[in-house]
Amino acid sequence: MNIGRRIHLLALCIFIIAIQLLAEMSGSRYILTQLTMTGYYTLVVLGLCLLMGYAGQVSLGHAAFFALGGYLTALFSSSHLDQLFTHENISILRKAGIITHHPEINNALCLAPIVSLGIVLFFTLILALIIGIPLLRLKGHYLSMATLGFGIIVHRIFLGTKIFGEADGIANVAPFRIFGFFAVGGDASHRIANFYFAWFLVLCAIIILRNIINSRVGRALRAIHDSEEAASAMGVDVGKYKLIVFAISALFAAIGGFFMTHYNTGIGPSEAGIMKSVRYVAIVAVGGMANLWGCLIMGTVLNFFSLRGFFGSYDDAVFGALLIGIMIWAPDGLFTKEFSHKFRHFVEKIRCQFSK
Amino acid sequence: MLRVRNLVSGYGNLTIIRSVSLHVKAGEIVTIIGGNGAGKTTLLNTIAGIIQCREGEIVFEHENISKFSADKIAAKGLCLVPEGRQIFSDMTVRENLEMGAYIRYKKENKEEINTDIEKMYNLFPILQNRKHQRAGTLSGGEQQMLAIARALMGRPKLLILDEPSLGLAPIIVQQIFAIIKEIRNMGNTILLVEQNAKAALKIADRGYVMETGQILLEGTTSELFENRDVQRAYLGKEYRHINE
Repeated sequence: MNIGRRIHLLALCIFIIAIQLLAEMSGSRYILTQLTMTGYYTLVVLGLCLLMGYAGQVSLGHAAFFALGGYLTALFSSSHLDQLFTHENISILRKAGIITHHPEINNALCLAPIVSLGIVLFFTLILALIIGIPLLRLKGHYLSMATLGFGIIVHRIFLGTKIFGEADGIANVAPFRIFGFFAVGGDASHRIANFYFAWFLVLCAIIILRNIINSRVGRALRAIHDSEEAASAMGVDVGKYKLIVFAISALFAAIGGFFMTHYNTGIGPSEAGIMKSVRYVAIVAVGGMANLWGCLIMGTVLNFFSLRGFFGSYDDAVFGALLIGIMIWAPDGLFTKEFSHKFRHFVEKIRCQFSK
Repeated sequence: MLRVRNLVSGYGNLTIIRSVSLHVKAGEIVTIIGGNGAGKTTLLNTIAGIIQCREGEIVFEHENISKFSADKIAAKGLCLVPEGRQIFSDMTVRENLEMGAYIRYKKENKEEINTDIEKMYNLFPILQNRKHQRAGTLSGGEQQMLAIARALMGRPKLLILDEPSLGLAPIIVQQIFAIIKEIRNMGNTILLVEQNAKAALKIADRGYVMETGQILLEGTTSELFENRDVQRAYLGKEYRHINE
């Protein structure tokens, strides 16, 4: 790797630090909370960018994986399991550190967060493989429809199951403790650390994805995007790669959901909703599909505006409109020469109109 | 090298290939000619594993590959240049060539692949001029050359070409066929499917005539050239003219 490729990463690091310092100096520390949440949503967007942009598989069910990560850890890290764990037999588990007391939620016994993370990752992987093997045989619109169906099922299950809190979701989730002194949670004294933690994860995601994209695997994915038949004629195992990428992007979504739930100390069924999935797809489209940095920028900007309530009650409508607009005027995203050319042309035309 | 026995294949309920048998020996150019809808492309796609065959067997280098998936067959050294080129249009010309050597990246070092890319540039000088251009911006003839070069990058034991003359101007077709001959002289084995029967028979050693999913005729190219039915149906000679 040469310096030219690293400079982007360095710029991102500087930008993250600059934002934090700026927020500190302007006395608006509160925006760090939304920026932290934005970071977790951006993880989903980045995963989807790999799946949609590079491998060409549109998934309308990614909110389901996000919610799965969130709900599972909410279940394990709130007082739900307390009664199960009161039995004497489990003292071994307690000694091994697999279950712990959480002072934040009335000393309830639940799974240690790190164990919960492991279980979430494992479950997501299994589910992604189970869903992926039959679904990824489908192509184009059929795949999108099938993932849409999957998303609806998962949404309804979370909405209708008692243990998942039905329409209320799960609240009072214990924070995710790391090294004893730092916790991913709602505690305002950890706000800055949480901000850095979230964006550290985003940075890791970018590094991982860049390595995938710039490797032989990345080229195979782009080949699949162009023509599955020709790619398989070149010796690319199309099914295997589609499945691996699907699993990776599902894991990214689940990790996003996992930390988001700990940070917000809870999760509701709207996170699994179809509109969330559509939103992720819209952001990747605006970012330019096969454009990691475009997706990162648009994911950050749009999610942040949405979380700050810029779009008011028209939040979902804005993302819908965005998707339509992008498909008509800038199908390759906003960060292309064609679009900037078109845009300049448009501005010029407007100016002529007014000068008349 | 390749032996196909009683192959049956099709899409869904439709049977297109009805009991086809053929063989290709090492070092040969074998052509399959036939009109539209004869089943030529379906036959090739079945051999290359893109479509699964229903009955019969495909033996490649003493190994039954009829149940293999397309990528395994490609790894065995049987490479298809698909109909309509199907180059990777969003990649540059060079990336397309590197993609062609995909199966070799595991085993071999990069330098050997780079020298092969240089060889391709020698064979197709136009590709060298365009190496950083997006493949989708090439003309039809250049795309066909790229598709052939990409397939050669995998160092196939058998190269299968599906209608390389499709949609190209006659002069370009001549160039492409001259290159195909050159590729054979370099020691490759080629199975060539064509509608342009005259051009195909000129460079091939043996040929098969295909119609409605069956092989009607087979023989050396001179035999096929002499055959009156072939002359009438595929070489554009008048019935009267033949009888005179």
